[in-house]
Amino acid sequence: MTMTSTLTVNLASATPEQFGAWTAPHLRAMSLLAARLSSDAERDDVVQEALIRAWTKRAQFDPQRGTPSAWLLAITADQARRARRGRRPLLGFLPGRVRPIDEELDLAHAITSLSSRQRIAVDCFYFVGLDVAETAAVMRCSQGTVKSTLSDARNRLRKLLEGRDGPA
Amino acid sequence: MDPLDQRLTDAGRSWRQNQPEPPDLDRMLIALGRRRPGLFQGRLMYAFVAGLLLLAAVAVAPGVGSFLHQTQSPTPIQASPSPSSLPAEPSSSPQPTPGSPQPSPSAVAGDSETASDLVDRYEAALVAGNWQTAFNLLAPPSLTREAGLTSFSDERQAFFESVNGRYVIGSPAPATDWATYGPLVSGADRSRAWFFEVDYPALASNNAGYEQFVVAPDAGGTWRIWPVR
Repeated sequence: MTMTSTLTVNLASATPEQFGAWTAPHLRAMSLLAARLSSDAERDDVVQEALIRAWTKRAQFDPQRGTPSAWLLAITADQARRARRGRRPLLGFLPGRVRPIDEELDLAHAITSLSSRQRIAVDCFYFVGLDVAETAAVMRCSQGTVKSTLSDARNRLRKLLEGRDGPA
Repeated sequence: MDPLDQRLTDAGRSWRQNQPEPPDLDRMLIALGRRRPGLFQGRLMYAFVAGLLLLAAVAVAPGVGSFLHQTQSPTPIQASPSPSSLPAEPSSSPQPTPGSPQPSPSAVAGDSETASDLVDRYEAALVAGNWQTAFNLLAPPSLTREAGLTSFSDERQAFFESVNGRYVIGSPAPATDWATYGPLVSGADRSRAWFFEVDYPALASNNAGYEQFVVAPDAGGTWRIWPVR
């Protein structure tokens, strides 16, 4: 914690190695988010580009405005959106490693029927495992909006799944 | 717990457990090291081009007695605007106000006011939910506009529900940090570009609580907005 705080203060003049130590605790979440919002194949490229972007913008990071995690995840989400651009998002949001179980496939297909905002909220909160504040940073909205978007998404999923396999 | 909430939580946990390890951070840091000389070269290139433009402006300026005489002049060189470089949309207050930021040598008087007015119209349109109006003010080559109106309105609608109709436009500053946002502002007249930060008080203390824009004439001379954050 002390090391992270020190590096936060000196981030603008950090070496790549110091920057790496600063980002290391968040690398797994960045990777999960990249895989979820783009694809397995693009995951490493998205993370790489996100790190380069964060490195070039590191002087703009303001610890008064949010956590390193939220900042890095927002940049990762931007890079994933760019990677996704040029192809339609439906397949891009399908999980990469869904086990061949009908129930999971039903849920995965139902998720692809959500609006783009609802899908991002579900992906971030349930699949990547971000908390509401981090999801809000990725979606660039308030925490209240995240909660209401998740609620709307669950209502939509409930209707979709009830039509396939009875009450969820 | 809601059964669907539990089902989503379980599905998410299962998905995470099946994900491979994150990419090798050390290998990625090597790429950061490789990019540094590139950025330095980029800045050098911009400085070199700016120097050439300045020399060219001095060489063609009317009434210039000698290059040495010109460089000793304490006043900055003001290039006369050509008709084609005038803003397509007239400013509501074309005269510079006292205390305005120092424009770049090729900037036209009133550019900062024109740019400020455009940002204000953009934000006002978003607050009013006029997505098409706001969308039309973006530069066609900007990444935000390339994503399309539907994507833009979906994302902006959700964001501005959180903004509560309040925004604060920061003072314009000549755009200079091209190493950071240069790739995002294709087609902008960089010699007349202004940088703005807009804060949203309802989202204060949140990295989502501000936006940054470069505002400049495009290739056709029309003032446009390039979101750079």
